[in-house]
Amino acid sequence: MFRYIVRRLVLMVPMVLFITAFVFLLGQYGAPDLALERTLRLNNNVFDQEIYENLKLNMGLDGSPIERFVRFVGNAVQGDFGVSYSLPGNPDVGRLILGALPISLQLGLAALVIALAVGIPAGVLAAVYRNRPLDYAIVTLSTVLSSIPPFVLGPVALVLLVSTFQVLPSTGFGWHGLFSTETLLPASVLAAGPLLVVLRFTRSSVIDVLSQDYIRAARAKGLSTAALVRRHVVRNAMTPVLSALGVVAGFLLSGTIFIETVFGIRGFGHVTVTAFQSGDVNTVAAATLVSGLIAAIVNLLTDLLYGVLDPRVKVSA
Amino acid sequence: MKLDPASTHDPVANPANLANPASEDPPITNELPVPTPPHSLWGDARRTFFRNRMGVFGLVVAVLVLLIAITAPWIAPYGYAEQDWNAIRQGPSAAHWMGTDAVGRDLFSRVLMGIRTAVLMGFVVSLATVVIGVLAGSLGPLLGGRVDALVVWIMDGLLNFPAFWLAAFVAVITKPAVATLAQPMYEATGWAMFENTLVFDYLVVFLCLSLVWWAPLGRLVRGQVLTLREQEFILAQRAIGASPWWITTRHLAPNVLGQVIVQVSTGIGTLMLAESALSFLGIGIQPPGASLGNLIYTGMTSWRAEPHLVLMPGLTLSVIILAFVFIGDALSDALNPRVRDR
Amino acid sequence: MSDSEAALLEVRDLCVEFATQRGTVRAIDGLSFDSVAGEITGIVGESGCGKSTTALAIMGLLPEQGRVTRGDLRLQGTNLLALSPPALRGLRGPAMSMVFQDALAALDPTMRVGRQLMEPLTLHLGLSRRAAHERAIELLGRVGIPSPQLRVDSYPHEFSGGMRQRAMIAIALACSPRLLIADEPTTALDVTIQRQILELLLELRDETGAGIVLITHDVGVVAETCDQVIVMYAGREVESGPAEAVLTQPAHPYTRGLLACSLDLAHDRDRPLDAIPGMPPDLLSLPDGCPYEPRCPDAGPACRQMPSMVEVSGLHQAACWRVPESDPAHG
Repeated sequence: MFRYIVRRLVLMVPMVLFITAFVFLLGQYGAPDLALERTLRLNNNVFDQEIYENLKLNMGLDGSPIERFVRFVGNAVQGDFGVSYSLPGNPDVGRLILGALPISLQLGLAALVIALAVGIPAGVLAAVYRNRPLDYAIVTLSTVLSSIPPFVLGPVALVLLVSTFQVLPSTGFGWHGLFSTETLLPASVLAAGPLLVVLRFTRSSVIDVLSQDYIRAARAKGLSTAALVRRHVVRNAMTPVLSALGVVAGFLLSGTIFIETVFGIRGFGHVTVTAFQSGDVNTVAAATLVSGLIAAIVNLLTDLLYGVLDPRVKVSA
Repeated sequence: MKLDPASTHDPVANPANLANPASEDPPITNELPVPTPPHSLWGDARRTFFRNRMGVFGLVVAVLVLLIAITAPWIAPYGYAEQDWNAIRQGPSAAHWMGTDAVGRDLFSRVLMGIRTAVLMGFVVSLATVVIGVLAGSLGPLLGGRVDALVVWIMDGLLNFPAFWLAAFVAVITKPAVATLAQPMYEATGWAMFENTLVFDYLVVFLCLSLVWWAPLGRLVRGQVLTLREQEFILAQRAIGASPWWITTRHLAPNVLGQVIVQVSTGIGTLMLAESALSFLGIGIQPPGASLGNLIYTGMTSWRAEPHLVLMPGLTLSVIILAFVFIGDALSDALNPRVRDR
Repeated sequence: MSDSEAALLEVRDLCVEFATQRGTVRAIDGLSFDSVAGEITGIVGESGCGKSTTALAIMGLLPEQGRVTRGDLRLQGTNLLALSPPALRGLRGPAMSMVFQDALAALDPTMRVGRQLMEPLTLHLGLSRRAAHERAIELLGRVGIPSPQLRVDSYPHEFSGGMRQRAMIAIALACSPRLLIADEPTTALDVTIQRQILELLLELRDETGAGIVLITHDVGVVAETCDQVIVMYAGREVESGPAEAVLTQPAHPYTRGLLACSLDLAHDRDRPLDAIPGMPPDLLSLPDGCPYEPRCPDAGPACRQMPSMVEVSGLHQAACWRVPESDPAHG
């Protein structure tokens, strides 16, 4: 088991690096020459070669792009992602991301819990009552909700729930902690897309399981449908749902960008968006690396969970 | 008369039976049940699709949207950037079906142009993903060895990454690059196109989405090509004589084609969403370009006072995406022989 | 059928229909038989003749598209068709149980065998976990699984085919049902294992006094185990009676065809294999008369009308117009 994890990690790293390299190198090629800009700024718009060279050295902009990338990775491994040249005060990128990440993780976690807590039971219900009104209602409702883009659903929900129906408190903006009421709305909006994915996968998986012989054999033992679902269906149906988690993680990661923007939450997504809009190359590169790592780790966890749920997998591995 | 079957049917005892089994028996062929008319995959699929109400609804909307996209500049009541200072911040009315914004621009016209962008991007990028996906998916297994390993590695990397995130990164990064390239390109070709920043926006969005979105399709195609390769081996060994082309067109293509169609149709929806999302974030189509995404963004600043500025483009976008999702679902049902679920 | 002993299972004029995309299929048409405690009743016929459907109908496990449209099903006098779902559930296990054909598919792959065995015990008999566990080990031992105390914690895929089948039989026996239905219990097994399973069934019949309904397409299995046999074709009963009578003096052409098809070691190598000509009937387009008529070597004009069950001798009866004339006893 341990060797399996190590092997997967080893495979993972080149992938993440590749993507980061791609983004980084593109950035280096196209980024306005920051050192040049700064030189001009510091020196009253007069170009000075010496200042220029010094600045280039300081900002890590000397050497060929490959050299810069290698240096970038070298530094990154030590936790040094350089400095943001777009934000006032030039904060350290590493610290910036590290401060913002926990917020996004909590938000994502809340959304995941909502998606699973609503999606799985709804999927099971839809499967057990398939092709009947309840099934259609559940599937249609969730399809509609998740087709609305998060940056539309957010404001719409905000308007309806806060202004029109006044169901939620109006101090909606900012981050107030994982268990505050203000988190409910953003987490729910974020959960919309994942919820549909979870629901669909659960539904089709449960339908598959219900048609299996061992379900009929269990009925022959006298089990009620409820007991059947509890004891036999859930465990057998969960494996495909796990593979959905990978997709779900993708939704969550992308979703945080929008949710945080709409609700004014200063998390990882927000930091990234600001970096986008200001062309902050260092932060963008660092954000790519971090999100790639997160995605890869999630995939690894998903694979490990497979082994736990399905005893057949362990045997063959 | 003996009724022991062995005696009447034993060809040794009764050689006539080979040609003409006991004369009392009706010829066997007469009584075989009439086979039902053959159901082709496409005929069945078409019928199943049209039975799906939501799929039909989606199709109708999609056709409508397509028509709008083509005719937008002519059917829009007002110009996209036309400002009427006598009619600012109005809600929906007879003169302005979707209301106006802070500088008196007609929202309906702007939404129409936004639809145009969405459709353009959705379809064009879809085409690109199909081309790249099919190429990558087939070349990998066909060329084998290290090329294949490379392709798989790239595909896996892309698949592991949340697609939109990556597209956004690429968009941010390539924008300045494209801008830097613009000047020399203009000098080289003299095409006025390169002076227009709007073209860059479109180009960047096209590039970043195409580069990222082909991966799932590529994986699908690759899976099928691998199967094909196996078939060829078997065929070669058994020397049946059916050519690979036969197998591909008769057996594999219908199956792959079905799944490709499903993926492409849902893909169009998600691509439109992605384009709007990029524009919303400020890294896609920016004003003066028209995009539902940036319309929503500009509308968000005054969502309490003028909710229609957000709701109108937002709901329009949602309906369009929903339509394609329904189409994709209905197609999936129609092309997928999952008899169990019926 | 037997008037002296009270029948355990009474099936009268059972009709089961399935709704399919191409129309309504009548999978069972007017089936009637009795099963008696302490006896093995065999139902034999080719694939698709309705034997498994009969089993499912009795257990109340027909799939969604299937319904009992006519007839009577009584288990020890209780009308099974009139029971509410919870009541029917209560009977499954303690009163009647079923052994399925493919043991690998019929066992939950993610649950240990012991736990699956314990389910009916805790559910119907109210045993505690520990007591159920003990009993489970006992049951596994009873059906001949070696080292049951170890095996009880294994997963189904860790068992061999024969062992899995034994485990299924153990599950079916767990609550000592009066009626045990075995649907092709040996079809998926090697010949040597088949014999062992059949012997196990015979032992169980003698020990527990339960009535067993054994469904198979293998005439040889019927010959070895059954006390009475019912031959089905196209959803209808075409012949039935004491096993020995039916097998030695088959009255219906189909039965004769079936018997002729089965090989025995003494089969003359030079003789071509006997086969029943034609194809299994399409239940959607059955002829009006006898369903076997298209393939019957003795078919005649009378066969355009559906024959009724006619007594051949004693309890042996068959549904064929030829029965009175072709008394095989007279050669």
